Amino acid sequence: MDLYDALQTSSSGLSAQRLRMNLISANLANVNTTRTPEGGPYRRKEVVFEAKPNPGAFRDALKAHQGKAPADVQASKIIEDTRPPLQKFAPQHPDADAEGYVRMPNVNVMEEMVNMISATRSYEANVTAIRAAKDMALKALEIGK
Amino acid sequence: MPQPIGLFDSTMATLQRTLDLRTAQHQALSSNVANADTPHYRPFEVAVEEEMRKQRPPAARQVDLVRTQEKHLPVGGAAAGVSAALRPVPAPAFSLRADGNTVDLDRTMGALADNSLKYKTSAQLLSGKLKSLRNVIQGGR
Repeated sequence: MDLYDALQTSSSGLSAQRLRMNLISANLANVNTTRTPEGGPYRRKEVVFEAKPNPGAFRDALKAHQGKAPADVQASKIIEDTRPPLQKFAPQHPDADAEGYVRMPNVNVMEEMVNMISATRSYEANVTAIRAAKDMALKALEIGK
Repeated sequence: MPQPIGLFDSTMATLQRTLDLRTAQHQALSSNVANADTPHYRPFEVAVEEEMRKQRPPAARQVDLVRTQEKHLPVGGAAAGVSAALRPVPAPAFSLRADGNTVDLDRTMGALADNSLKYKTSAQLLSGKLKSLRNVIQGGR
C-alpha cells in the first residue's frame, strides 16, 4: 500500500472513464444509424464498472474481495441498451417498413450529454487524485535535502 | 553523567507514522474516487487522527543498534510497516442514486485535498527536523 498503488488505482479510474467516454461518442455518432452488421438499427451501448482488488499481498487481496481494502476499477462488460428502437415515420427512407416507419437507434442525445458531463467530472476527479499523489511523492523526496 | 538522548527523537517517529497513515489514506481515497461510478461500491477511509491517538509504534518489531559504549548515541529503529484499519465511510443522508454506490465525490475530493496538504506539512516538518540535525552535526557552519 503506497503512493504507486494509489497512482495505479487512479489510472484505472482514468482508463475506465475514457472507455465510458468512447462509448458515449459512439452512441452520439450513431444516433441516426439504421444499418449495423448484426442487422437492424444501432443499439445504445453502455459500460458496466466493477471494483477490482489491487494485486498484492494475499491478505490485502482477501480484504479487497470483502470490500475492505482499496480496489482498482475495471470495465467488466459492455452492455447494449434493451429499450426498443424508436419508430420514425419516413416513407421515403430505404429502410422504412411497409407502413412507412423506420426503426431508429434507441439513443437519447440529452441522456448522452448528461453522461458525458458526468464522465468528464469523474475523469477530472481522478486527475486531481493523481496530481495530489505526485505532489506528495515529490514532497517526500525533499525530506533530508 | 547525563544520559545521551537519541539521535532521532520521538517527534520524528510520530511524523513518520503520520506520513505512513496519510499514504494509506490517500490510497483509500483514490480507490473511492476511481470507483465513484461502480455499482454497489462502498467507500472506506483511514481514521488517521484516531490511529495516531492510539498509536504507539509496535515495539516488538523495532531493531535497535547495539551500543558497545554507553556514550554512543542511541539510534532508534524504524517502526516497521503500517497497519492502518480501514473504516467504512457513512453514506450521505440523501442520495438520489439508484445503483447502490455511496461515494460522495465532493466530500472525497475535499478529504483528498486535506490529506495531501497535511502529508506535505508533515513531510516539511520532518525535513526541518533533519535540517536542524545536520546543522548541529556540521557545527552550525
